[in-house]
Amino acid sequence: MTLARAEGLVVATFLVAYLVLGLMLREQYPFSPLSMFSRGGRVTARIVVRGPDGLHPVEHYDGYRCVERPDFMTTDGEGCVDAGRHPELDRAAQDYVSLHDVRGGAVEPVTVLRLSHRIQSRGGPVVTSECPLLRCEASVPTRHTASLR
Amino acid sequence: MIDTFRDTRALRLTRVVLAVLIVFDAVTLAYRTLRGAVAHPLWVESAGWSGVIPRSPVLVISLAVVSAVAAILFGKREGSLIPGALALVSLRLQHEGFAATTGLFEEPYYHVGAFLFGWLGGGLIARLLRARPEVPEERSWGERVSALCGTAMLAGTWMNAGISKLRDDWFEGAGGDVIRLMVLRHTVPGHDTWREPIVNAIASSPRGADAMAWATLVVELSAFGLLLSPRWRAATAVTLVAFHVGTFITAGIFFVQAATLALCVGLPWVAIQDRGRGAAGSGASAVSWKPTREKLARVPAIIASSIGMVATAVLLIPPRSHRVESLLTSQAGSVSHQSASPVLELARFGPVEQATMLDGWSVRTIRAESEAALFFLDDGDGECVLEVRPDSPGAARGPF
Repeated sequence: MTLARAEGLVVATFLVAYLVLGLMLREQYPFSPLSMFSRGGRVTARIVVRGPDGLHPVEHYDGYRCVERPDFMTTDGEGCVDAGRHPELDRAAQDYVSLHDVRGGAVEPVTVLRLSHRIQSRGGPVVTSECPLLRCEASVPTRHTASLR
Repeated sequence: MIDTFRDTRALRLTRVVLAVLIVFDAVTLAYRTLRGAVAHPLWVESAGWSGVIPRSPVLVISLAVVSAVAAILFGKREGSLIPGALALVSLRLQHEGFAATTGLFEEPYYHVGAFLFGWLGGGLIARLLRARPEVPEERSWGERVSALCGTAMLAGTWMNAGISKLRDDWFEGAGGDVIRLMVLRHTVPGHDTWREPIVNAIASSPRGADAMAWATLVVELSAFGLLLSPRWRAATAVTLVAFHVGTFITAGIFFVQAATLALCVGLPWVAIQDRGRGAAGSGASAVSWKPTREKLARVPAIIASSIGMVATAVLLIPPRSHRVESLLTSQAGSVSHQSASPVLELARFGPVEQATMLDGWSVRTIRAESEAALFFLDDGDGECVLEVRPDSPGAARGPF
C-alpha cells in the first residue's frame, strides 16, 4: 500500500466510522445522527402569547400571574384537538411561565396559546389556528416601558 | 487523491481555529448551563449523574476553564494530543451538564467535537505509524493526518444529517412539508418582522419548499467533497455555508461553529494570503512530503484495531436504567396516561430506534435523548410522546 493510498484509507475509515457510530449510538457526543429536522409529521405548534399589541414569544414578558397552573405538555388548548406538540419548546415555555412571577410594575392581560400549524395532505395549504391555554396578567417588558417614557 | 493540508500554515490555521471554537463552545456551554440550571431546576433535579454538574456553578465554571485552557495548549503547539483529549473529555462533560438543564443535546456543538475527535484519532494513528521507515519524518505529516481525519468526521456530521432525513419523513417526499412547518414553528407572526415575508413565501409554496428539501439533501450528502480536490473543497464549503445562512434566514438558527469549520478547511486560505501579498508561492512553508510508492502493510490492521477498540469501548458502556414516567397523547384532546403501568415496557432503552410494540403503540423515534428521554410513538392513526426519566425509588425499574 502506498502512503497516498494509506492516507485515503485512513480518512475514508474515519468518515465511515462517524456515519456508523453516529447512527448507531445516536446522541453520544461527539457522535450524533443530527436528526434535528428529519421529521415533522403533519402538525406542529409553538407556545406564544397574545398581548394587546399582537403575538409574542413567551420570553417577551418578564413575568406572569395566571389563574391556573400552566400545563402545556398535556393540554391542546380550547377548541383544539391534536394541535401539535414540540416537547422541548413546550416544556421550556411551561417552565418560563411557572418560574417567572409578576413582581410589581405595569401588567397587561394576555392569553398564552398554542399556535398550531397543520398541513392536512402532502403539499396542501397550511392551516394555522390559535388554541388558548391560559389567561394571565403579564409584566410589561422593562425595555418596553423604558421606551414609552 | 488528497492534497489538502500540505502546507504547515494551513495546518496551523486549522488547529488555531479549532482551538478558538473549542473555547467558544466551552464558554457558551457554561453560560447556558448556569442559566438553564436556574430556569429549569426540576429538570436538573430529575437528571441522574449529569445533574450534578449544573447543580454546582463552581463545577460548571471549572469544566469550562479546563476546556478552554486545554484548547489553548492544543492550539499553541503542533501534535498536542493530550491537551486535545482533555478538551474533548471536558467538553463531553459540559455537554452532559447542559443537557441536564434542557432535556436534550444541542446539535450545533457536535461539529467541533467530531472534528476534534477525528483530529486526535488521526494524530494517534500517525504516531503509531511513525516508526515505519516509509512514513515521512516531518512532524507536520502527523498533523496533516490529524487534519484530514478531523475533516472526514466533520463531513460525517452533515452526511449523517442527510442520511437521517432519508431514513425519516424525507424519503417519502415529505421534506418540503417538514421545512414549511419548521420555518413556521420558529417564527412568531408580527414579531420576527424581517424574516416573516420569507417564511410566509416558503410556507405558501409547497413546490419551492420541496426544492429546498432536495437541495438540502444534496448539500448535506455531498459534504464528503471537503475531502476531494481544492475546487471541490471550496465549492462544498461555499454551499455548506450558504445552506447554514439559509437556515438562519428562514428559521433563525445558525450553526456558527459548523460554518466556520467548513470555511476553514474548504477555502485555500494560504493561497489567498499569498496572492494578497503578491508572493509567487509559499515554498518556504510548503512541506516536503509527497505520496510515495513505499509499502505500508500495517495500516489497515492499525486502523481496524483502533476503530474496533473505540467502538467496543463505547458499546460496552452499560445501559442506564429508566422508568416510564407518563404517556402523553396528542390525540383526542387532552388525555394523559399516567405512568408506571406494567404494560408500558420498553424492550430496551438505548440509543437506537425502536420497533417494539408498546401496548399497541410502536416506538418510532427517540427525538431528544438525555437523562430524560422523549419517545415519539405511533399507533398508525396518530402520535404521542412517551417521557422516560431516570429511575427513582418506587418506580418500575429498568433497564427496559
